[in-house]
Amino acid sequence: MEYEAIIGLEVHVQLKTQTKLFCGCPIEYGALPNSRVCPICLGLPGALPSPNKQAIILTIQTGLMLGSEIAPRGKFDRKNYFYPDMPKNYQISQYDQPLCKGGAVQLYPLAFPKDAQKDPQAQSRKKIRLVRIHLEEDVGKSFHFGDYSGIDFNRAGTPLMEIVSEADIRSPEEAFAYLTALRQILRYGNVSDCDMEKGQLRCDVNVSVKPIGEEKWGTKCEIKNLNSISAVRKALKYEIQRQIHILELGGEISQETLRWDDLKGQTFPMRTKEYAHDYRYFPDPDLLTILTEGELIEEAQKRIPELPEEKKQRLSQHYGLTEYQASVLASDPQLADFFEKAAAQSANKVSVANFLINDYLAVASESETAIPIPPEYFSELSNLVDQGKLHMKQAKEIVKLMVTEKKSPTLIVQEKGLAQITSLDTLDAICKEAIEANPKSVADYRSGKTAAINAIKGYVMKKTKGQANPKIVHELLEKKLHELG
Amino acid sequence: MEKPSIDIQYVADLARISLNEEEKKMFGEQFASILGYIEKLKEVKIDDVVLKGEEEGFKNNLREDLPQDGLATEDVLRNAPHHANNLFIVPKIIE
Amino acid sequence: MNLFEYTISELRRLLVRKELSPTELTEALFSRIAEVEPKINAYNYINHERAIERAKTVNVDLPLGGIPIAIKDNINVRAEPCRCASKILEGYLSPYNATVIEKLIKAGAILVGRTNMDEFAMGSSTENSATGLTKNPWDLQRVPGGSSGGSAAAVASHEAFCALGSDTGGSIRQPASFCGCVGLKPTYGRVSRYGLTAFASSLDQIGPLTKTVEDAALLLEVISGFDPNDNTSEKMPVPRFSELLETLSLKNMVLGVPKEYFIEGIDGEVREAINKAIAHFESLGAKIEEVSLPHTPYAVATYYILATAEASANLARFDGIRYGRRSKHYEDLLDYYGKTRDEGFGSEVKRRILLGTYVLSSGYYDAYYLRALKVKEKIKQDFSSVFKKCQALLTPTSPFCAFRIGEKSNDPLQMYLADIFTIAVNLAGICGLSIPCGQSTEGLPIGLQIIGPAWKEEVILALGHLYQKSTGWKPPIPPLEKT
Ligand SMILES: [Zn+2]
Repeated sequence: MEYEAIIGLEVHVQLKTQTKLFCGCPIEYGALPNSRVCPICLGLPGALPSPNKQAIILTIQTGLMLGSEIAPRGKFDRKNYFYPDMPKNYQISQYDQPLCKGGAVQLYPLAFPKDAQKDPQAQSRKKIRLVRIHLEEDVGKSFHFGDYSGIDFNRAGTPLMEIVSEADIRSPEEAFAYLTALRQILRYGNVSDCDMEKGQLRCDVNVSVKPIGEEKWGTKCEIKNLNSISAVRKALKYEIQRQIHILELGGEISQETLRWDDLKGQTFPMRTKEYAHDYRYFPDPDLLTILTEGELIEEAQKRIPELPEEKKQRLSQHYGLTEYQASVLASDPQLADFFEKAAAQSANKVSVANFLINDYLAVASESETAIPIPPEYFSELSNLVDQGKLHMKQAKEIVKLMVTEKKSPTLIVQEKGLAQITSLDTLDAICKEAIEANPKSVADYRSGKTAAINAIKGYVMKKTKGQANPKIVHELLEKKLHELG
Repeated sequence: MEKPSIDIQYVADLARISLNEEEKKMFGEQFASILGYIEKLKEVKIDDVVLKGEEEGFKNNLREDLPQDGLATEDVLRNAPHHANNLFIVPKIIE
Repeated sequence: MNLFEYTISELRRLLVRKELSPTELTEALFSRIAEVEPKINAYNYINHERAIERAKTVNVDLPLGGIPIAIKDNINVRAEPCRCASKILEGYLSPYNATVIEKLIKAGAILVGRTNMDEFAMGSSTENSATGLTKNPWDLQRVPGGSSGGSAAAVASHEAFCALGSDTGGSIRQPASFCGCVGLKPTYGRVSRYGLTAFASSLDQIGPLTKTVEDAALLLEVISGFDPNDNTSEKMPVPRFSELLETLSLKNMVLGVPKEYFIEGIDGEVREAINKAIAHFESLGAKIEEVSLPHTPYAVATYYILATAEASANLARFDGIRYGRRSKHYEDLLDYYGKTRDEGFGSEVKRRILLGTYVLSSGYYDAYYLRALKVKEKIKQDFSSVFKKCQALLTPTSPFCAFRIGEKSNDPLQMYLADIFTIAVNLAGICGLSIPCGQSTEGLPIGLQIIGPAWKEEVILALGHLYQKSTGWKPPIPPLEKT
């Protein structure tokens, strides 16, 4: 029997604010434990929350970018449960009036994992619908020792945006693409850095499987706290197989909360000895409702940048790029900006794009976030090629040197003596020599096999160690061969 | 209207308060009488009440995103029954 | 006249003219405390040294320059305990000042100590205190009321010139009425709650307890005002209450008497005293009109749903992890929580946490909490409509005088009904003042409640002041005896 998976994602994104959601404590990763806390985020008696305007604007902005409907009034609620990492033993969150409702994330081929980009599912341009986006505070961090645990509240109160998708996702690859596309938009909007190593994007996954054609959905399991996009894919792959296996053996899936062990590559049930979940939500009486209409929405609107899809369209039209080139560049707003700066001073925009995509990205390390050299280097490089001063093969070599040695292409050319030979006198002599040395090719050419010119050209290039300008050589040879009558 | 009955154990578990049998019995009886009294709210016609979030002319009262000094670490830890290496120590959290 | 008998306004004159130094004044108060405190037990904590240090350097030209003040034990003062009369906060030292404390310090007040209360402000008698009972200065076998019983008893027995209390359902006005002093519950949002250990956030307000209405106006002026640290505090201008006391004219003034406040079960002597006070206002030129607040009978039930629900969350933070007392014997984390909170909280606090947890628990929200929110709206509407035809309301503060210690402690519902006349004011978010208006034959004080619309403290203060001036009020010295 064939099975299909039904997947929904809850993504927690740390917003890019300077201070926490309800107090002025600075957000700082890696500070000394409990050194970034105050009476409010430590839940001291008598302390009261005071909402961060920036966090609310960023959430509304996200909703606008994803096509959500923005609630005219936002409200904070208390979600009650006891946990040592939670200072007040309730979390300030949003229950029945989230700031944003609905919206969608559109998948695109490049968002899929590299090994799946050719799959039909990667070409589908599916839209994953959103249920809601709301704002809440993060909890502290726990560390586990022998028979006790230690808590650091520095992270407690950090603004988190929870983005809940509909169960529209059907495969681990789609989940991967959804997260990639979502992260791209969040980075575009400067809403979050989404640095997964710092836990700025965390994900809970709901997954069930059912035989294809069956209407009723299976029992779902939740995998908690996945902290990388590839872990989401791996965990889902494993969990879907696990569930199918149980069903095939005639078993039943039990609804449980799971944990993903990345080293073992398995999901495990969480050993929570917990009472029933009954969060007793109620409106937080310490906080006024938030009026989103007017100032807040207007401010959020102002901050919406050109979005990936628009940028792709524009790059391809304005610079004459292929769709592939445009989407690679648009995948990262910084890369796109870099390209546009480089292209501005270059005569051949397409060649700048090619250098960036084929030569730079191929050698750049994955972890590299910013390109370490000025965009002008790429303009210079493409202009040198365009003016015939550099051979394409050499130019490709120079890209590597530009990055490793952080030097301009002109400087590299000078230092390595790589400049093309464009002097007509020099080339004329070498071409004459080449014609004399290749009588067979000359004969072939004259008998109509024009491609034979390449062999003669090859002789010239070899002789000049590749420094001859191929265009000039070609013209010279043609002229000479015709002169031969 | 029937007398509401309370599952005291369930509520005490949620509130994280261990009760002995005597307390459970006492609270159970008192709640029956208090909740019986509270039942009278059912007499009030509330269909016409719309809970607005705010009064007319309501304005947001939000904080600008500017860092402020927090507590000195000694003030943070002074009241902790048990701390070590700047961390608050609790019985083992099982995950 | 003994120095301890003076009012703030009188002391201010002496201090500014340098006829009295803050140190002399503070020492005089401490001698009175030494004499009276063993009988009353109004204070949980006294900081003699710190007060004297401060008295030596304080600037007497400030609005409260050199005036000693007592603070209820649920308002945070940096480097002082803030025990909320609870076992769970044993040994706690607060690392920060409440906004009202910042304001008092800026105004030159001298903090004397912390007054006793019902644990976490839950109660109407100050019997629910982990630090022991406070006695009523008029009869040591009776309760001072609550929850600000320590503040009221301290002011009434002249071991404080003034005090701060907090009022969630009557916790300032009811003890003021029981002890024979003045107590004011300001409009919700008038005084910052930042640093007030929360009981029910949507109802709590800090307010003054004083010997005279004039003093209450002075104190209110200092502690009021918008605070960015309290999201629910309002950006309203603060009138000069103390200067507006004399500006009121009773001509064209209509005072309402809500008929629902003169019900069966109200003590005969209380009824008589209140009627006399109403007649007094009439004789001064006010027009008295009977009005109706039809949802009054639902106030107590509404209150006990909303207040306990909020309290169940507000008190969740007391878990012995970051502060407070933790249980010594437990098996695991769950057991740890359960025992720590069982051992740390007293019965009344547990009762309210459990009740609040119940009304919010799955399946009950609409029937209890949501319904209560809507009834609260109805109660609010009752007041808005009567305030269209009158400027203030006159009612008893409590249906009876101070009761005997232990008299109501076994019947929580009867205890809750002691707040029947004060609770609606908190639910409506408006302001209320309690002033002494006579005594029972047993010599127990009776309190008149003057209720005003939101943001109209100047009106109820002026009415109270007028009453005290025209009746020649002088703060009495209670017998401090058992009767
Ligand atoms: Zn903080």
